[in-house]
Amino acid sequence: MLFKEALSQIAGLRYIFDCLNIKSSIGRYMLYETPFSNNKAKLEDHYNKTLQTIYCLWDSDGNCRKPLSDFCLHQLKDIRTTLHYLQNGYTLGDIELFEIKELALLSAKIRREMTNANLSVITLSDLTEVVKLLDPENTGVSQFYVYDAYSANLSIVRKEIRLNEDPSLLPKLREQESEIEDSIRKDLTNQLKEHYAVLQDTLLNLAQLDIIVAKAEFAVLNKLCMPQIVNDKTSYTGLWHIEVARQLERTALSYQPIDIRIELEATVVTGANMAGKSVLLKSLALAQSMAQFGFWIPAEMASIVLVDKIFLCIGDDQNTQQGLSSYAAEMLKINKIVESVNGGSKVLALIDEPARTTNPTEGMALVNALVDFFTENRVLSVITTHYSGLIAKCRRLRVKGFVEKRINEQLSLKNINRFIDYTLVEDRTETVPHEALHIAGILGVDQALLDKANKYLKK
Amino acid sequence: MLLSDKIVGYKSLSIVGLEKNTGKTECLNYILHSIHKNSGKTIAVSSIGLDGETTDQLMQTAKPEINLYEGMWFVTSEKHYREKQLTAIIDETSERNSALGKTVTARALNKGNIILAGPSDTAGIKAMIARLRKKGVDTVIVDGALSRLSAGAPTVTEAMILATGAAVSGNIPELVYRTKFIYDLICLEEVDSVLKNSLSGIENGVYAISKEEGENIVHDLNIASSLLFKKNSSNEDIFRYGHHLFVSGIVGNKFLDFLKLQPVPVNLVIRDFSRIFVTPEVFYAYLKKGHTLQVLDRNNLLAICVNPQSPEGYLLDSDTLCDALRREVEVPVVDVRKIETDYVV
Repeated sequence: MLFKEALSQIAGLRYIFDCLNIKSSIGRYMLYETPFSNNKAKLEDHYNKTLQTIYCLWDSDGNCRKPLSDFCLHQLKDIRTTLHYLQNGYTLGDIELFEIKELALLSAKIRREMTNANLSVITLSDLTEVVKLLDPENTGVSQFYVYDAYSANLSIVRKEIRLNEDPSLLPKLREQESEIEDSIRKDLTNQLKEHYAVLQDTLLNLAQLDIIVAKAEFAVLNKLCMPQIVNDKTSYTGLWHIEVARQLERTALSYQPIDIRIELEATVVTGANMAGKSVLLKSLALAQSMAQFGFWIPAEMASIVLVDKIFLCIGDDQNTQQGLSSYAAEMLKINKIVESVNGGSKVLALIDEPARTTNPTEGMALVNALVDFFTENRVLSVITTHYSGLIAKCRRLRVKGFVEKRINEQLSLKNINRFIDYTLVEDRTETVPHEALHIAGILGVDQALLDKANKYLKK
Repeated sequence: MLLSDKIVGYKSLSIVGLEKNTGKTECLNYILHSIHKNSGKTIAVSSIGLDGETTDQLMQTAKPEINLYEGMWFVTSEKHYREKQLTAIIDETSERNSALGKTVTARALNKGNIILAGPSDTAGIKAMIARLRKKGVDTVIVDGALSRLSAGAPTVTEAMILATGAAVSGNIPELVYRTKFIYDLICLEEVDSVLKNSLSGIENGVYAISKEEGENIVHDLNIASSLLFKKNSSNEDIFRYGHHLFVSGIVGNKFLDFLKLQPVPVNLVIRDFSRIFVTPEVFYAYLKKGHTLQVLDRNNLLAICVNPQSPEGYLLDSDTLCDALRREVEVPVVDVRKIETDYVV
C-alpha cells in the first residue's frame, strides 16, 4: 500500500497530510509514493531523522532556531522530465540547462545551510563540476544562456549582430549564432550526462529533506512522540487522534488521551454508547499507519508491533453500491481479515461491533468465534461490542464511561462529552455496561418511550 | 513630456484593443522603440495569453512580431521561448505547466523578435507584475489579447493605452463613435474618496447609498447581481433607500435601460469601466436623461493608438482619422505606423 492509497483508507491520515508543510511539489509526490513499510531498520532510520532534525532546528522549548525558509525548499522544482531527457541523450535546451544549474546552485546553498545547522539527515553530493559547466563566467546567480565565454566565435558573431545595421544580413548572422549555440548545448549535454546519477540523487534527496523537515515541524507543533518498534505487544500512553482533538478544540472541548495495551490475542472493549470506542479504533489504525509510514505518533509514549496490513472495520462504510446489506459488507470484510491471517500475514484487526446488524443470538456466536480465531492465531486485534455473554478466551477492557458527578455542571447534550471518563480499565466480567436507556434519556428521547423500555427490561 | 517618459512613470501599463487587429502589437512596438530611444528605465513585457504570433490564430492574417531591445525583460511560454529570435538570459521558469509549457522569465541580451504568451488570467498577471517589480523592473507592460478589456482594469494595471483602428470599422465616423464610447467609459468620473472607502470592500451584489447627517449609509438590496434583477418579480422597490446605487459586479444593457426610465435622476456607481457591458445607444440615452454614472476606480488612459490599416487590407487616411479622433478625446492620438515620431503628451 502506498501513502496516497492509505489517504482514502485510513480516517484522519488525509488531515495529517493537509497539515504537513511540504514546500515542493516533488516532495509531495515522493510522500505520495512512500510505501507502507514493515522494515524495522528503515522505519527507525526515519524516526531518527525526525529526531535529529528536531534536535538541530528547534530548541527544547519548541522554538525554531532558524527560519525554515532559510533552506529554500520552496525553490525546489520537479525537474524529473529534464533529467530524463539528460539520461536518454537528448540535447538539452536553454530552459533545461537553466533548471539543472538552478538545482545545482540550490543544492550547494542547502548544503551550506545544513552544515551550519549541523544537520546530516541527507547527504548532498558536491555539484561544483556541474555549476562550473553552466556558469563559465562565474556569476554565481541562477540565470542561464549560452554564454559568450563558451566560444570566442560565438562572442564575435554576437558582436556582429549587435553592430549590424543591414537587416538583410541578420538572418545569416542569427543562423551562425544558433549553430554555434547548438553545438555548445550538445557539448554541455554530453558533459552533464556523466553527472546524471548525482543530479537525480540530489533531486530526490532534496525532496526527502523537504519531507523530513515537514514531518519534524509537524511533530514539534503537535507534540508527537517517537515510537519504539517492539515484537510482543503494542502499547500507548496518552494516545490521541489529531483530527478529532482539533475538532473538539474548536468547540471548546478537550480530548482525553487514553492508555492502551494490545497483545497478540483478541482484546475486547466494552463500554456505554458515546464512550469513544469507535474513535479508539480509528486512533489505533491512524497511529499504526503513521508509524509504518515513518511518522512520529500522537501519544506520550508508543511501542508498536509492526504489521503487514491494517484492517479497520467501522461498519459505516457499507457497500451499498454493490447492493450489499451492511451485514453482508461487514462479513465479507471480516472474511478478508481471516483469509489474510490464514495466508500468513501479520495484521492489526480493528473491528467495531461485529455482527451488530443481525440477531443477538447468532451475532454473539459469531463474535465468540472471531475472538477465538484471533486469540488462537495470536492476531493483534481489538473488537468492540455491546453484547453480553462473551465466553471465548480474550483480554477484556471496559471504557469507564458515564460518570454522573464528573464535573460540577448541569448535564446537557452540549457538555455530555465532559461527563464521560474515556479511561480503559481491565474487566473480568462477561456482562457489558447497561447505560443505553440512561444515555437516551440524556439525549432527550421521549420519556414515555423510555419508561416502556424500562418496563420490558424488568420483565 | 514624451509619451514614453510618461509611461515609465507608472509601475504597470496595459495595452487594450477595441477589437482584434487594432494594432496592439504595433502599438507595443512603437512604445518599446520609443522607451529604448528616450529612456534609461528597465521595462518588462508580457501578454494576457498568447499574442505576437506571426500569423493571427483566429484570422490567419500576418501579424508583426514584438521587437525587444537589449536589457528588456519579457515573460513568455516555453514553446515561444524556444522560437525566439534574440539572445536572452533565463532568470526564472515556473513549475506550473500551461498548455504551452512552463512560463519563462528572461532578459534580452540583444535586439530581436519574440512572441509573447504570458499568464491568461488577471490574478496571474497581477502576480507576474509584482514578481517583475521585485527584480528591479520599473514598468511592466501587458499586451491584452483579443479584445479583452480586463487587463485595463485599474486593479490590474495602473495605466493603459487604448488601441483602435480600421479593424473596428472602415467608416471613419463609425470608428470614431465607437472609440469615443469606450473612451467615455474609461473616463467615467471617480467617486469621492469617502464614498470609495465605504464601497471598495464590497465584493458583489447591488447596494443603495443614502446620506444621513452627512454620513454615507450603504444598504444591501439583497440582489446577488444586476444581471439577476427583474423589475416585476421583486416585491421590494430597489429605490426604497433613494436613487444612489452601487453595483459591485457587472452592469448590462437591461439594467441600465431600466434605470434610464426612472423619472428621478439615478446616480449609478460601478467598480470600474471593465464591469459595464452596454451598447453606446443605451449608455448615451441613460446620460441624456440626466442620470449619472461613476466608478470607484478610474484608470489612467495615457493615449489612444490608431492603426489605419484593417486586416482585410484597406487603409484609412491616417491624418483624417487622427484629426477626427482628436476632436473628440482629450488624450494624445498616436499613429503607431509612424514609429519614428516622438509624440509629446
